[in-house]
Amino acid sequence: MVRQPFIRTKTRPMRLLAFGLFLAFGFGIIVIQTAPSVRQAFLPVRTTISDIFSADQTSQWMAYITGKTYRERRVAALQEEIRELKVWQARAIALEERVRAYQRILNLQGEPPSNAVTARVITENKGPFTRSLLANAGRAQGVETDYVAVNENGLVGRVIQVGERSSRILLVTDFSSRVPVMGEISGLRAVLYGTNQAPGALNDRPEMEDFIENERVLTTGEGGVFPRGIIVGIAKKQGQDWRVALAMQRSRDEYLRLLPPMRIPEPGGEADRVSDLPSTARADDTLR
Amino acid sequence: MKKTARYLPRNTLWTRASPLMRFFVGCALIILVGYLGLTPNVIFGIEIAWPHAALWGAVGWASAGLSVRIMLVLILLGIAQDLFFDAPIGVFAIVNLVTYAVAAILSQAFAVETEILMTIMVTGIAMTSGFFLLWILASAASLHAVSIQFLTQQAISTFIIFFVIMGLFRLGGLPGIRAGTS
Repeated sequence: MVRQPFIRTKTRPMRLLAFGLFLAFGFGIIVIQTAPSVRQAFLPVRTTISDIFSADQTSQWMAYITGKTYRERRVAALQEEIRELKVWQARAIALEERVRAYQRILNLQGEPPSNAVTARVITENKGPFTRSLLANAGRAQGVETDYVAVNENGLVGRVIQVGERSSRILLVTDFSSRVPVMGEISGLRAVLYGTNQAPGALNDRPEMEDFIENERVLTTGEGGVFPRGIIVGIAKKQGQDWRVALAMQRSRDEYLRLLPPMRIPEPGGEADRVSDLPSTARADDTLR
Repeated sequence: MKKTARYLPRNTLWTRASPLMRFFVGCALIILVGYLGLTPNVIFGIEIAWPHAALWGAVGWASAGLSVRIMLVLILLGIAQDLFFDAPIGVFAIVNLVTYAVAAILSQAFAVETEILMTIMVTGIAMTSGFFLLWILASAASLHAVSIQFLTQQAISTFIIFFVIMGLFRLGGLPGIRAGTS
């Protein structure tokens, strides 16, 4: 079907007249508005229109369409969270100062200073043999066997092999993994056994009492490998057994922090022999 | 005959649309673009000179000659612009009408539908006259010569975008077919 083509119409005098009238009307309105009272008469119309179709409202729609609203809401929520965390940070600093003061008063020997290394996970071995990770930090970065691997949620495992620039980490889920742990609230102690599956099993409980459901499970620091207080997971009861929902599995982060093991020198060892020397001799050693 | 065949329209929804329907589509586009223009138009930190969409209608619809209906719509669009831009009522209506009239007169005088150069020239003259009138009226209303820089940027964006979408403001004329030659 061929559409009827447009036929140009000649400009008729009536249309020209209408155009002239409209133009004159427009100019007339503009001239009339030079009077303040007339200008004021248009004001309610302007304000009403502005209220209905305010640019701000349009911006909100556009922001909603483009996702800006969501981002702004998220930023506001994060800012609120930061404000709350700042309060907690201030409290934590104050408490840390107080704890240090108490430790000084009691002459308490605290945890050894940490010399941690951050490494990236290169591969994750979920084969039938061991549950392990390969991280890209090794002897060159100061990593040694028994370094403890943690992510931002908690304990991941410990270093079992160290290369020059890589280290293998045995996961706490591995069948041969054993971690001394305790309940954060109950204080009950146990050994976390790897089960090759997600939740670890809590065995070897000397107190033979029940943990508190959903309490956090932390490392005890016993055994001289895992430093005390690292979060391991949450205690869950399954039948008569206690399991640990491992905290590390909440994260898909590919970075790990490798912490030195909590090795305490045995009495009469090398460290003690050095400390037995007179202070002047130790100073000489240092200078050399 | 050969020339006419070359310009035979494709059988699309748009080619089958009536002039009134095309007019409504053009109006909707102007309102949409004008409304979006009220938002902060900043992309990558660069402020965009938003086009005066009503001038697309004034120039595009003018190729059909003067029409009272179009004039009324342009006046209404102009009043809406006046309200949004806080201009004295009637300024944008006059600008739209004058642009429309200039474009209509030039479209009748030159073969704008067949010669692209003529289309560019007529569009350029009509829009320039509209923006020049806008500058004069804005300067008169604010009692000083307003900056011409942003108006020029707006004129350029209006002019360039018009050539991309001018088909939407064609009320039914076929390019290459003059009145009485089909």
